Amino acid sequence: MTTRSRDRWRRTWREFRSRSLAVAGLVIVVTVIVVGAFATIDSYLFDAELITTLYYDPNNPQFVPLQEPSVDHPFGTDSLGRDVLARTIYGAKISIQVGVTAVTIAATIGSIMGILAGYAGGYVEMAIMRFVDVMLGFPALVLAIGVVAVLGFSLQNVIIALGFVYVPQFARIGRSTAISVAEEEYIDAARAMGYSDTHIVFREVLPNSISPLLVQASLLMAFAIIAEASLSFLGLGARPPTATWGQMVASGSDYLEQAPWLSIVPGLAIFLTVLGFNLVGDGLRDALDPRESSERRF
Amino acid sequence: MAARDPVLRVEDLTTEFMTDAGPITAVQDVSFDLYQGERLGIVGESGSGKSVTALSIMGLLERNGRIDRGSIRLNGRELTAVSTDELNDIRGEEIAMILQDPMTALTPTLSAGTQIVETVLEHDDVSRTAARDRAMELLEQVRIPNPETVMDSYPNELSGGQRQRVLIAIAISCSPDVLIADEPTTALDVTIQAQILDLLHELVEDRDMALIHITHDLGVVSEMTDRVAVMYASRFVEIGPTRELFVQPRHPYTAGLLRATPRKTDTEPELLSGTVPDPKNRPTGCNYAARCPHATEACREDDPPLVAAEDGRPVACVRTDELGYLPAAPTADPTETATERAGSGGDPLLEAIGLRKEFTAAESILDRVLPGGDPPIKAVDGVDVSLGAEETVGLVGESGSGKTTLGRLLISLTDRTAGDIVFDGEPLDSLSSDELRSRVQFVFQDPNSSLNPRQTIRDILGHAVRHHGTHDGDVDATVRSLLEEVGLEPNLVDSYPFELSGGQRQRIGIARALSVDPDVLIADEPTSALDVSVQGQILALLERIKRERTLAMLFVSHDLSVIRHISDRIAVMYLGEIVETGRTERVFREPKHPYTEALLSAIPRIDPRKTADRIILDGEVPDPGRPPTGCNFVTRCPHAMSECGERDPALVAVEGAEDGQRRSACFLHHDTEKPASRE
Amino acid sequence: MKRGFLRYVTIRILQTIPVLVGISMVVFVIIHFAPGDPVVNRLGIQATEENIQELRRAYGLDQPLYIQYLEWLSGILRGDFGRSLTQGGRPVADLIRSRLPATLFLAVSSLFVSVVIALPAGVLSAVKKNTLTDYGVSVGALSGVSIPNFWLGLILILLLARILGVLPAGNYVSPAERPIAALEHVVLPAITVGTAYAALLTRQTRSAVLDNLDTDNVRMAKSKGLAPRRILTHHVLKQSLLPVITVAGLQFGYMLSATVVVEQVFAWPGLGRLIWLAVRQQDYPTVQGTVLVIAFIFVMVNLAVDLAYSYLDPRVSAA
Repeated sequence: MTTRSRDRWRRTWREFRSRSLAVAGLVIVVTVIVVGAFATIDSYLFDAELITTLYYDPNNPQFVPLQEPSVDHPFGTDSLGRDVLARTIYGAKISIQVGVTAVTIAATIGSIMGILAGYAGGYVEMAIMRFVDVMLGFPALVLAIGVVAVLGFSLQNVIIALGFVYVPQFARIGRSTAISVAEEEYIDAARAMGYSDTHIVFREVLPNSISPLLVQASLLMAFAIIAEASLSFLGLGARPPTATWGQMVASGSDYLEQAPWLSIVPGLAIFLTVLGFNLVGDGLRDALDPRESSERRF
Repeated sequence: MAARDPVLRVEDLTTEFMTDAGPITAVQDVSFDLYQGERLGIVGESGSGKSVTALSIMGLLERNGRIDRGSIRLNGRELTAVSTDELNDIRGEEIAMILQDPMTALTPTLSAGTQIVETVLEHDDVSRTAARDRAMELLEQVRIPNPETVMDSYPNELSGGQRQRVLIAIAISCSPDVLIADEPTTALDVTIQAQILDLLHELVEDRDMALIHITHDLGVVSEMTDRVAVMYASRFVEIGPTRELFVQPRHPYTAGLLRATPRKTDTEPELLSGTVPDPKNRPTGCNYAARCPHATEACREDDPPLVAAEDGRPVACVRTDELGYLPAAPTADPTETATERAGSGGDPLLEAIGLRKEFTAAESILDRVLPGGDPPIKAVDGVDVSLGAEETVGLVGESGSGKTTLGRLLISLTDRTAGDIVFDGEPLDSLSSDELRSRVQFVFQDPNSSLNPRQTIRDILGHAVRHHGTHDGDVDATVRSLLEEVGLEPNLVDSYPFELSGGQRQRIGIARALSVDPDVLIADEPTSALDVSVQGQILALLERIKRERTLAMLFVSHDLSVIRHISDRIAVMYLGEIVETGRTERVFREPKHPYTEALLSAIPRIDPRKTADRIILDGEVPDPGRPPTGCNFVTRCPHAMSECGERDPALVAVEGAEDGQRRSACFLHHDTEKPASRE
Repeated sequence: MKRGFLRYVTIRILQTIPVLVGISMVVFVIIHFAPGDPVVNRLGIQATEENIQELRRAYGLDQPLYIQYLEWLSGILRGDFGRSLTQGGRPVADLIRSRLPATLFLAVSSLFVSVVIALPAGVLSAVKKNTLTDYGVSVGALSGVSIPNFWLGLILILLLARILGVLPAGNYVSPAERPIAALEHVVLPAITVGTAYAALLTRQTRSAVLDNLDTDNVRMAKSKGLAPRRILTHHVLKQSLLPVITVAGLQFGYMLSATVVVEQVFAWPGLGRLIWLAVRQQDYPTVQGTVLVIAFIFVMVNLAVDLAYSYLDPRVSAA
């Protein structure tokens, strides 16, 4: 990467940084990712030893159930006597894992399909877009429920289902971006120079299509996190005792009046995380859109 | 006239825009008076501030713009001080405006009639029926065919010319005292431009309105205005009666602009070097000093104010009394430039026979299968064209004529429907893609879009050079020498396109085409997106490269004046067919097709002393999906005969013309081949 | 009737058919690869090989896949969605029919709530761009899309039903039988489902209006001296709302998804609860049928929106 190309990203960063809401979103997202990463490392490498040493074990009931928030347990304990804060920290792991993996899968497959359709046109486009039309005929969560119903309820299957149902979103944006890029004269110029299709797709079309896909990825991350939480809430996600925010809200709903914090805390965690990704996505879109930038008035 | 008060008096108008880099001045100290019945032209290149002047007067500045100081008095009332409500009463009623692009200026979801009627209802206390009757009258006054249909049509159902007429109807609907026309014909074809200008002229005359006509086109100003103000870098640099100013300009910029604009005459335009200074970074002293052949040290010290010269004409130049009148026309010896060009008459290098291209309007299979869909568009409909080695052929036509498609077919950027193309004695299909592209190259129209925004100049040119192996081991050195060849500093190699000006980008586009060391260059309107002075520089560059590299060139353009000076031969296209072809000077001197004749006469003349004997064609170019039977031009031809509606005249040699190169597709000129003798 | 509109309608309707066929294929294939043998499930593990083969033949399960698909599809077209594996083996079509009204009632109520909030908020926000109002609406809309609906539902129940006791916590009442009570009972679920959708629509409306505020045709309208109100209503809004309608159609699926989740929260006896139960009990024919019906509703809504759009917008289909 040349220094000037870095300049371009620096400019985008400067635009992004000038938007306080976007920065707030970024802070939230980074925090959740750090917490999620901590929980992931802890659970896979140390078998929850780290958090148990530092704080409490999120998975083992060891306290008096349904304690109110206190200094010892800032968010109280749940119906089985587990610390809610510890479980909320571990819930970040699931949300981030599902969000990142599912969106990465969907973005990779969908973008390539979309750009291919947009650039190639003809029968390739027709075949891909008919598939996309069919997929878009399903409300995303309903299709995901169908897929999970067949594959079984597990974290891995939730990731597969969400990765699958968001493919058409990326395909659609990839295609429309590729089509508008393909209309630019520099694509004709590349053809006039006799460059290969591979060169044109990867060197000319793709770099100019990245921005909208990036924005879409960030916004869909928010959707994917809500979708995962919804599936968990419905009892179709990761199996207990794994802590997931959605499932925590669901089990807390039985004690809504008695111990409202059981539902409120994990719900707030979902809300803030999703808000963070939405703010980042919006900020990114505005920072990349020259029309939005520099609205300065007298 | 001078005894009366002016309808509009603008004094020291200064308008600023807020940008990231702080405020920039778009209009500075502009003053003028406008009297009833007077037609004032404001002429300048893009970014000169002429449109902002109009928007300031109308109170239509965007939110990041504001009038910093100055006064605008309309009928004695100060517009900068009125309330929004008062302004709404004044706009449309006392002062109205026609915007540049008729395609976007009408609201797409309201019918044309509604948009006229609502204006009338807003300002006059009349019934809806009366307003509708008025709208119908107005449509008749702007000479729209079928006004009843147009009343209920939506903008997308109207052609560009019709929409501009509707806009004019709206503007004049409440008989304003002042009409501002901002580039009213720039988006239109030259034959439609002629119609609209003619209409505007008549309306202003009949209604005794005052007109401010803003344009970059010197010819339009010359024909359409009584007085003209020349704008450069936010200021008026000279203002005076058009007949005097265009014959005896005083400001060096006015003179430079006049001499740099290509004319239909034999004299070559002169070069106007340099570019307009960046508004964020203007020099101290005269803004024009850096480009001015007469500049002295004094010019770089203070910004010269607009003051009366010895003859009383306001000019913003400290040396104006010293310099006196400057020549308005190129001074080159016409016999030197008008000699017949030495294009080879030998075997053609690139030749197309019976070339055809149809575009389908259908979007899906269903669309194609179901009845009632749109017929395919015959963009190129049986064209023969040839290009000799070292020859330059100008391909001219209005939008929709198929000229761009023809250019693209010749290099296989678009697949042809039928016909043969032979390059250097071999069919095009037998050449490999790389071989074809290394010998025939293309220069694109829009320099903003023809360079990949995410690649540096080094990436763009380097890759081209490597792909075609046209370097002697050192890619970087080759790229640098290409940049030098197109007149750019080699240290621009690490720039991105967005860091360059339009002219510089177009030079990169040319360098890219040259990087493969081609034999043929196809240039598709390479200067139409550029200002006059930059256009001249690019044309001169193409001319030089062609000579130095002995290239053959196909130059596609809508602008006959541009084509005049670069082509050996021209071919005129209309609705997918070539209607006339021949040596450039001969075609210009004596056109052999009524369309060429009309096209030539439609070009506005820069010299106000030459009265135009204009042929104004009726109607507009027919839908290429449904061309007329017989001759394509029959619907608009002033000489149409009965047989023209029956058979399509072939493109055949004109009797008595030079060496069989002069051909015309018109029965009027088919002397050798009587209509009856054709099969 | 507009020129070419009928032709456009025909094309759009014909184009919907392959989409519906594709949807039925996806549903069929997914369920076909469900783990476990439905026949074995049906007969239990004690079944003999002979019994199994017999039942297979009886159900046509020994046929090639495409034959099975065609038979299944022809059943669907006749209104035969098979029988539930639980629920006493009732026909799936009956189950769906009994649950559909509750879901439709909720969806329509939510749509109403969303539109009533979103359109004025979006327009106001755009017209007052970069003011406190705009920031307020924008932040509200952002929160709206970020809030998980099941959680919002619980909070609303806690606050309005349990603590304040002003509204019932869901519990479907048929609007045909007791219309007033039905409305009372649908308020909380409708707000819960409608919030996210309203937020999406608000953002769309805002950006569409903004796009159309800064155009040549608005400048032209101003230059003719039109009153600002008329410019907004006639020159900006109609143009802006057309694209919003399209987006509203596309995102209607989001609302259908929300219904499925929110029905759990409010014990709403609709399709969402049906599908949830069926999924938990591995009642595949019911899952199949319900997913198919929900997708069908979604496609039809989009078709209707598209046709309405092309009828209202003079730019489509007339060319």
